[in-house]
Amino acid sequence: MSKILLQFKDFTAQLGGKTILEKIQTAVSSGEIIGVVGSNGAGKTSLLRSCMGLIPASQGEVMVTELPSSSSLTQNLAKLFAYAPQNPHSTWDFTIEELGQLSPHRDLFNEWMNRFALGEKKSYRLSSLSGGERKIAHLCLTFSLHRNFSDKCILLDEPTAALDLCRTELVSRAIKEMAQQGAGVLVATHDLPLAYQCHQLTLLKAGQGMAYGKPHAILTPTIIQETWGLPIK
Amino acid sequence: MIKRRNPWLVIGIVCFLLSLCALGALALGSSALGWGKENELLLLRLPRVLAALVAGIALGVGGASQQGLFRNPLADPGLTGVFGGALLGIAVLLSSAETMVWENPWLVPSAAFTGALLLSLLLVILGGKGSTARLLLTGLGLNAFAAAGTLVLAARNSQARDVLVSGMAGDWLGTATLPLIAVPIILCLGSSLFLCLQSKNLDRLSLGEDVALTLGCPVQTVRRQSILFTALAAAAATCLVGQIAFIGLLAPHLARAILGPRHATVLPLAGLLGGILLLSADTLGRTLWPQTPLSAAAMTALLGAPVFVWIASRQHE
Repeated sequence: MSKILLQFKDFTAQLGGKTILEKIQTAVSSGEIIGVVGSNGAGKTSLLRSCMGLIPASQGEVMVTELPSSSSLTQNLAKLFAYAPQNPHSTWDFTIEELGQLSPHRDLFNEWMNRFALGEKKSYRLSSLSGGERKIAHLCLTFSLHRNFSDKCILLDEPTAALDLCRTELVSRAIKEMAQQGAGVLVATHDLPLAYQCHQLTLLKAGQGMAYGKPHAILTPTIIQETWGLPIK
Repeated sequence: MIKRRNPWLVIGIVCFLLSLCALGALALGSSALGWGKENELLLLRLPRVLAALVAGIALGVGGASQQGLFRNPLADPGLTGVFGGALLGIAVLLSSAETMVWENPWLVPSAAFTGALLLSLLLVILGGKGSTARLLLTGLGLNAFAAAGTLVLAARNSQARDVLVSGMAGDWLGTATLPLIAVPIILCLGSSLFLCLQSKNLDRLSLGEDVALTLGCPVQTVRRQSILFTALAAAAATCLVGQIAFIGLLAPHLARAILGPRHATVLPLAGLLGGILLLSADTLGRTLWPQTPLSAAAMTALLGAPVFVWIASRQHE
């Protein structure tokens, strides 16, 4: 029996007087990959960030069940989470190797670099890499945050955007592996093959949870047309 | 592909250059070369040299730290008004209690620190979130306001006027005496050392606050402590030199160009380079034209500006 790691209970959030997420009901259990799909601006990134307490609830809550009672979520983020933003950036032009030195497990970072075939570019500056390579370098940092992903929450914001076919496949394999170790993965994506590999999908439209279920039940022509406004023949 | 230089070697060389500068500064002067009979020239120059050296270190480290904190290569306590705030704090103190001020060595540094901290907090509240432009524009506005405040106070108080005007010109090094500079020197070195210990967290912060949190960086604590200790470093340096804008910008850029952007090397190297810059600028300023010595601030800009423009044009092609 897998345990619930993250649970949204009627989660509603506002930003600048505008409701960005409304009555979200969803849960992430260990070993599970939950996809968050929806058109641009539907609230996918906000949903991910709200798990880390970065977007306060105006109603309802997100429960992080592994958080010891009466301790602060912000102080425990490094222990419980791994997060990869959609557009990772660094103010300073580190080399990949220097980026890896920010990881608590440099050996893991190097292993991931080798797996993603970036090991040879260790001493390249981030600015000299292509967009996809840079994304991979930052993903390696995220993936190397924990030695054992059991009961950790992994939040991935469009992890395969900008990646080539081969690296897209490698990333989706990595995600599966981490789930098998017992991680709960919440992944926002526009990548349909990746979405099909999720155990469950949450479909967002204008901040509202429109549908929740298995990928093949969510990604139907009718729902796609209603959400994205695109007729599918 | 790039290869970084060995940081220990570079820092060793820079330390050596720094000691050469210090020796040169102690030996050079308008009256005579050398240390004089019974070292009287040495003792005369020592406070000034110490003050310039230590203030330069604090300016370099403070600038690098503020750039790291705001994730902005243009942030500098001079541009963002923190020095202006420190000087305004001193101006308020001088114009309210002129005579007793110099009796307690903690009084002027405390006033400078209060002013610098208030300006820093205003900067964070008004311009801390958002674009580079917003931060710098807010800082420039605050700086102009603080300068105007200092000028108003100077104009209304004839006793404090000369002190404040030369402070705004960065020309206080000449008045250094050991009892006067002891407290600011301790504060400069203490705050610089503390800021250097933040290097790992400033690296993490450069990936954005949300990612930094998951990397184990206590973002709020780091922000609070960095703002506090940068204000302290800037205030203590202001007590020694007066207002001097350029070193906090130049030294970190130079350090990054030499050893790369990791704060573990940028912070100490920027400090050492800041010390060299300010000390050599002050020494040249007082020896090249002994009859009409040039202030440390003017000389720094004269020497440093071309170097800065060169780095900027090379880095941001």
